[in-house]
Amino acid sequence: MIDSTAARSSYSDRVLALGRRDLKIELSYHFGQLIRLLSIVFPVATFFYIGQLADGSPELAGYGGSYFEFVLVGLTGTTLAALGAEMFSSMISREQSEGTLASLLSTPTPLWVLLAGATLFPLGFTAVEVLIYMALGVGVFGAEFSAVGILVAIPIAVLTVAVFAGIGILSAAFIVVTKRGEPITPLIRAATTLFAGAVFPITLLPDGLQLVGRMLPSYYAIEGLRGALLSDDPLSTWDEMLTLAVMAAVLLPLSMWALKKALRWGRVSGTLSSF
Amino acid sequence: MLEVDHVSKRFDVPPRLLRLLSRVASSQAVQAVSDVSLRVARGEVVGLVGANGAGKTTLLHMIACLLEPTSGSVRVDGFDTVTDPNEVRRRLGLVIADDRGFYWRMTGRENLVLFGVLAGLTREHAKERAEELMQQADLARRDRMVFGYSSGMITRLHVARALIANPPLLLLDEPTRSLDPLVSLEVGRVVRRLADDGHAVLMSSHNLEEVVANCDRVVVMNEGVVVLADTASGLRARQDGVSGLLEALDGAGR
Repeated sequence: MIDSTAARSSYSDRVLALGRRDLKIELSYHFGQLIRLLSIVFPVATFFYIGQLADGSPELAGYGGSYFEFVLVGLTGTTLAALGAEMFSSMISREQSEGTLASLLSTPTPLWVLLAGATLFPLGFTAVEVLIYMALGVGVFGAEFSAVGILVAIPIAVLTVAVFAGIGILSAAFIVVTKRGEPITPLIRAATTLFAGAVFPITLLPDGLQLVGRMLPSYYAIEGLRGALLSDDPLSTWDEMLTLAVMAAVLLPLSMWALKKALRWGRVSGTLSSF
Repeated sequence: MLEVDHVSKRFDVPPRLLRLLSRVASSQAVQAVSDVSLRVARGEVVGLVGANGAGKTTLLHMIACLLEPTSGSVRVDGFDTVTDPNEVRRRLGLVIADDRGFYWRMTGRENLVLFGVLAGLTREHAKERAEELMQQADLARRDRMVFGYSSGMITRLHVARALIANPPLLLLDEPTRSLDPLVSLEVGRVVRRLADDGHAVLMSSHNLEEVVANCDRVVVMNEGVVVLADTASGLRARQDGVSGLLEALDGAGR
């Protein structure tokens, strides 16, 4: 029977338990994530050699002139954006198809704790992924970043994940209702690559498409990261930081509201555990 | 402990936009439960009997905060399932009639520890409880990743999970489904013992004789409506016995 005097697990214990769950499940597949990490070598090496052709382009002057460094930061920004967008939607999609969503929602653990727990493993894994990108770029292919630039890049990376987490939670709400999902993540990857300047400066795009790029949060994420890591003045990135912070402040509460509404709809319609 | 008052559940057809985005199970509204009231006190086992589609699982899901009633109210220890769902969840353990619901690439023990922590136990306490319940459910020696469990083992794991935080109210949706007769008998004894320890138990089943044997009171549902509620001893004392009740139930379904 409930013992009110017994020690109870804190919310941080529960978040850790969920992180441990994801780690165990991933480790049970043995090679999946290892292969994903090893595969990072290929795009990094490919862009290093493409960079031999593109170095010195006037379009890169504002970014220190090295195409390889330019694209390395672009790939990092895309990875962070995809992480934020993917971590909640893939969690909801998986829990729904495995029937564990109803099991989780019948525990007395609040929704935000369940969501926070779902971020631990993907955040840790992406941090390793980004470190490998950077270690390869710096250690093997000779990219150079200043210590101040790296310090300034950290809050921009956090804000990037926060903005895209908002979009990811919206995507999760969509999945709860439609049972089919992740419509947003592939779109984000594609749009970031084409419009937000992940692999080439958006000044190469026609004016109308540049405007599309400037409407995307990934543009500000990548521009901010490049400003921090590639420009002479890393502290000149306040505008990007502020833009990302405003987007996060709007998207996170809005998406939590949408997810709560979607789960409520699942409880009313009886479709919470169907998929 | 559990108070269900005039609860109804109607599944309406979703709006056209949602039907465009995703196919729905039925293009017509379904009245799954109609004006059901029941009580379960601590130390009592109440059996919910009915054929498939009688509304038993819908009712249990409403009590477990997985579904919202269309009308009426459900309270556990005075807490309403719609306005205080977390307080209700703290007080109940749910056995769902579904082979899914566990992380298949974790062992049964690891699943129990995880759900124990999410139910509010410290990790150490959850580990102790998981070990104890794995022994009681005869799963300890054969533990492995859940994808290697048989249906019967999964059902026992469901029962163990419902008990992990020792909640005062247990909702068992067909707990003997997929179990062999001997293990079913053992589940009946476990349910009785839990009630003797002060738990309130609401248990659904297709098997009327099993319910009459294990429960203090029996509620028979048909097409979402309670068609009969009596004590188990009252049912046993009926001149026409359990078979007569089955006939009555069959008649109510027509």
